[in-house]
Amino acid sequence: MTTPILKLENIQKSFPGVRALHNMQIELMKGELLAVCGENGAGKSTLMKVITGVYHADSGNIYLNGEKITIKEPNDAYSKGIAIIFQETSLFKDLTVLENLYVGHEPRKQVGPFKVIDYQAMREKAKEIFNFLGVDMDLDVIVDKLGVASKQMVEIAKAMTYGAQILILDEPTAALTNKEVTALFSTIARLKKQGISMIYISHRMEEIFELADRVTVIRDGEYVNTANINEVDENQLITWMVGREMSNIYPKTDLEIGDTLMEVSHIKHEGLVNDISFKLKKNEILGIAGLAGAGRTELAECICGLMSKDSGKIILEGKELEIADYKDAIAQGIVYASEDRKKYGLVIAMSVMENTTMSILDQISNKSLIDFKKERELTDAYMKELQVKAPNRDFVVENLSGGNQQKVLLSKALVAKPKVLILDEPTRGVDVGAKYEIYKIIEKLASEGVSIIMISSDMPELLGMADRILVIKAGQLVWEVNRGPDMTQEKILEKAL
Amino acid sequence: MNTVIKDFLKSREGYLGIFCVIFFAFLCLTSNFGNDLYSYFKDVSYMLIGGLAACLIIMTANIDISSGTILGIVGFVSGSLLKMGVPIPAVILAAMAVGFINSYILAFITIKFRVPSMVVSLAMIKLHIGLFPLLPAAGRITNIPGEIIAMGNIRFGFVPLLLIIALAILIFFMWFMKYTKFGRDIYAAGGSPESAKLSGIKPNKVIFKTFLVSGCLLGITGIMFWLPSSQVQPSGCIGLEMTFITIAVVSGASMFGGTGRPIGILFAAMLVAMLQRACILWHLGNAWLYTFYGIIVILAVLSTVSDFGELKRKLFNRAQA
Amino acid sequence: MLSRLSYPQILTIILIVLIAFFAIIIPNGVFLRPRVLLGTTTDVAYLGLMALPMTLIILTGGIDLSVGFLMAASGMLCSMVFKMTGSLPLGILVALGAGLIGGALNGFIVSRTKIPPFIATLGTMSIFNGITWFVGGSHSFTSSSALVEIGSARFFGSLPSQLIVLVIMFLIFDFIHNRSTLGRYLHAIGYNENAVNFSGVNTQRVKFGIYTLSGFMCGFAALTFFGRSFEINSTTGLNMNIEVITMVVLGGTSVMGGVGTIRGTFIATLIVGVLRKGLSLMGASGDVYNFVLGGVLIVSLIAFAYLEARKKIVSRTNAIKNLTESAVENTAGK
Repeated sequence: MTTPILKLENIQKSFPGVRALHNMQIELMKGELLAVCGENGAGKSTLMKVITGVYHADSGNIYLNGEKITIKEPNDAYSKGIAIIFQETSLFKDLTVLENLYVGHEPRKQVGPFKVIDYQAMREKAKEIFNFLGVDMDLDVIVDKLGVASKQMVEIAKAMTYGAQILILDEPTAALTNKEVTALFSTIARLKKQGISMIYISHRMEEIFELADRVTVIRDGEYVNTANINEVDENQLITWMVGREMSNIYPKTDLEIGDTLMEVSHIKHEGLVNDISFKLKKNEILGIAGLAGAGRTELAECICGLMSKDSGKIILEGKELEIADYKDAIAQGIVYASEDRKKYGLVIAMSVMENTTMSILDQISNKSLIDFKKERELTDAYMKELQVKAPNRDFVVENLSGGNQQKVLLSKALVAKPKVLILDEPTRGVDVGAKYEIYKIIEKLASEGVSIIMISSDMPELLGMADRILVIKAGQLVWEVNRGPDMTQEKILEKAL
Repeated sequence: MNTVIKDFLKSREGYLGIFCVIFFAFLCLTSNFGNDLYSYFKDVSYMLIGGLAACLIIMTANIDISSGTILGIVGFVSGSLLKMGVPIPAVILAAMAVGFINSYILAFITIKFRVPSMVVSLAMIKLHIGLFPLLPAAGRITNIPGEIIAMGNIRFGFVPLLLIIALAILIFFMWFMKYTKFGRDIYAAGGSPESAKLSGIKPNKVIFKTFLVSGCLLGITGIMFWLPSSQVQPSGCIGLEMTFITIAVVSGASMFGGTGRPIGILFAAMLVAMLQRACILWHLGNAWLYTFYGIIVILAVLSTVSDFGELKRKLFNRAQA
Repeated sequence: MLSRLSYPQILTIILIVLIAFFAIIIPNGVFLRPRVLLGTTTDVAYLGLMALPMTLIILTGGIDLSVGFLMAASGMLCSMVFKMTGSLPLGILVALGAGLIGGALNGFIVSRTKIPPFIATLGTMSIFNGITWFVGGSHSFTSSSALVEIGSARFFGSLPSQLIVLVIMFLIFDFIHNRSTLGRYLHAIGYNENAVNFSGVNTQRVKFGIYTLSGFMCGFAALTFFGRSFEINSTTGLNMNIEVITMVVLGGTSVMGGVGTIRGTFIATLIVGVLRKGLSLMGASGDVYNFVLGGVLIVSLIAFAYLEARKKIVSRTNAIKNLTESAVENTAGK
């Protein structure tokens, strides 16, 4: 057996209060494409950040071509031929493509006493690289003006300028159209032919089966298994990813679905949401599936007034609502819990209590003077009900674990007494135990008569919890399916892609 | 070549240039502006370098509001040295050293303690102003030898020597920003420190050095500001920071960092100097000058931060509906 | 020991030490005479009145650089109108109105555009400076003697009316900050404006409100300013913003937003007052005061950055301890 080009063993990494990686291992062979898959929050991104020197492992070894190395910072990784294409592009939006390719390592030549940037050489090399990638690119265009797919190509080209031998692609197709995905795949094939080794992170099964030579599955920050791609099937991978029989982790009970509670018709927001209509029933959990960037979050924001809508109606209990901003939506009982709890959901530097009551502060105050007693009572009640594990209500949210932060976000939503609760990625970055608790909470809410819209990229979660699933693609509603034999991951993915 | 000119005319700098020419012609036709081009260009000289110093700082997403008052101390130090008979090159170095030290303190506190440079530079203003009266003769320097004043006023027709030097510095920086690694790093560190880190650039180091370069430029600005006049009066430079910041934002440097081109400074400085002259020629006085500065700063920044695509979309939608 | 004290408590100790210092160093116990000691506030009351709303603004992570010139402009308009009409109520109305309008302009730009507050208010500062020149040119304005009399009045022989005004305003602002929803929102905006928007709060309106309030208080401060200085001219407002900001920063409000108290600002105002009077009684010129104030601003910025960093480390260590304990409990439970 040949030595792997890159090998990690026994990698440990903890953050305050969270064990992110434990006994992690990975082996990458020369010229192969290794898919790394795992659920959201399984530790994929952390692992990649360890490889590229953004994070430092607490312990463990990294070998490059059999030689033990340490990677102190991203530049180290680059100089050793390891480059990563991040989910959020790391390009400079105000600079041109050419300038972006060589930021930090511009080719230079000696002119008199000065070392001067050699634009001629830069341009020639850049052209060569784009030829190699098989991409037509204007080198002088400002990056901000490029589309997502082109930006990604620039990122790949940028990695190549470092002479990368190992390329890490982190969910590269998340925001691409079908055509762009095809183009990306052909570029990947070219790279592979040139002997570049790649680590490909994705949880899209069909991509993994199309591209990968081998696949490594990780779960909850731990290594699970590695297999040649032709020796496993999708079910096997999912079982590894989930780690237990899928059916029993979802506390789904058969609830009687009530009458229509809310009707959303012809919601439009130019370029993001294109004419979407649906009905939501009482006691129902309505799942919304689709790729990131398909317009799911935007749809939710349009419904609850966080984003202006160009047209469309929202009818709740037979009454058309006038929703100018989110305040109106809350007043009518439509509440949204954001997918990004640190950026939009919570003020993490403030206490559990201050966060819990943030959106109903007006309701518990008299002439804008806060009723502190009521506030404390409410917070305690919800902390107890949702079992938020915090020492006291004045504890700063930042120092809670992901699962407990998410519960605070749920308390914040519930305290507003929603009729319709929109949960956007309710279990993102939450460990498995807390996930189960959150599912229980959701199920309990549904049984109490709250209608829930659950947006999620976690397909098993949607299949496990939803009574009905809407599939959204490029801002359009493309498919609707009720719980039953038709509601499968394959069919939903097929429609979403 | 043709496309280069076309591209230029379409850029922000192009618009500025065209506007500059129109305003210039207008001033010449409506007043006796044309008769004293020499004084005008003398103003342009120090504004160019001061604007450049402010622009470099703004490109790193910082700001230095003390860039006006430091000139008072530069003036005092260089004026004293000149009177003592120190040769001009040494005086220039000393002036740059004063700016350097000042910026070093500013940058050190800003970066080491992660405090906004804006507030730190506010404190620096108080320190400068507090320092003026503590200097001998309140920092005022008179009786500067005539030959030195004459040196500051060397002219070729209506073109002062200072302008030629200022332009040379500007051209050097156009080259510097494009062709040196440090120049490129400033754009990267200012545009997105996070991404810069991923590209192996240490943003804090780059920003620190940029402050130092800017400090040296302020030293030169001080020399250019005081040299042609017969005396140094430190309090005379209070408020100059507004001029420099106006020039920097008009030139197109975004407050969020990462953009800005030295060529824009040329037109911006010419415009602002013209505005200043115009206020004198039309007897508008300080009232209009300050008001204009305020409005121009706000509009110029507005033009760099606004999303015109979004605005167009909204207007278009409204027109359709 | 020091870390157990709250920031306002530390400030109070500094204030007492400073008073003791001046009491000892200035001969004959002059400094401790009620008239002198209480009188220290007359020098800074107008600054304190602007520092109160400035605290609210800095809490949101913003800043208002235009305060000094806005105060000067309001004051000059007030005395101009008073001179023209002879009506004091009208003059007062004009001062308050001018402040309000100026503040609303700031509020509009800051809340409706993406221009960062410091550059927006730097621009309006220049505009307000322009207005002082429009109104007064290089002339100075005096105010109605009534306003001067009220402003310089002393009750019980030593208690200045300015101090009373400042204390009343402090109590109002402190009440708003501690008890109202606004206070809560301001802190939250300073930490994470997005999350406040996503709680159904119109943060644009909140920001517009506090900048307008700041402007109004500038107009109000202009009225009390007459009680201290009989004239006002176009250089009056120069660098006043720095003094106001120094009070806020010294008071323990973080320029990064989120952290701060009105109480701290109030005590900081008293400290600056004592410092100013003490220095002048020691025979130092006003320029020494300028220099010292610059130093105070820098030192408090650094000290506060240091304290915050330590607080964070302490709370994080506690958090880790806490989580480990609960983890142990969980496993024990199973």
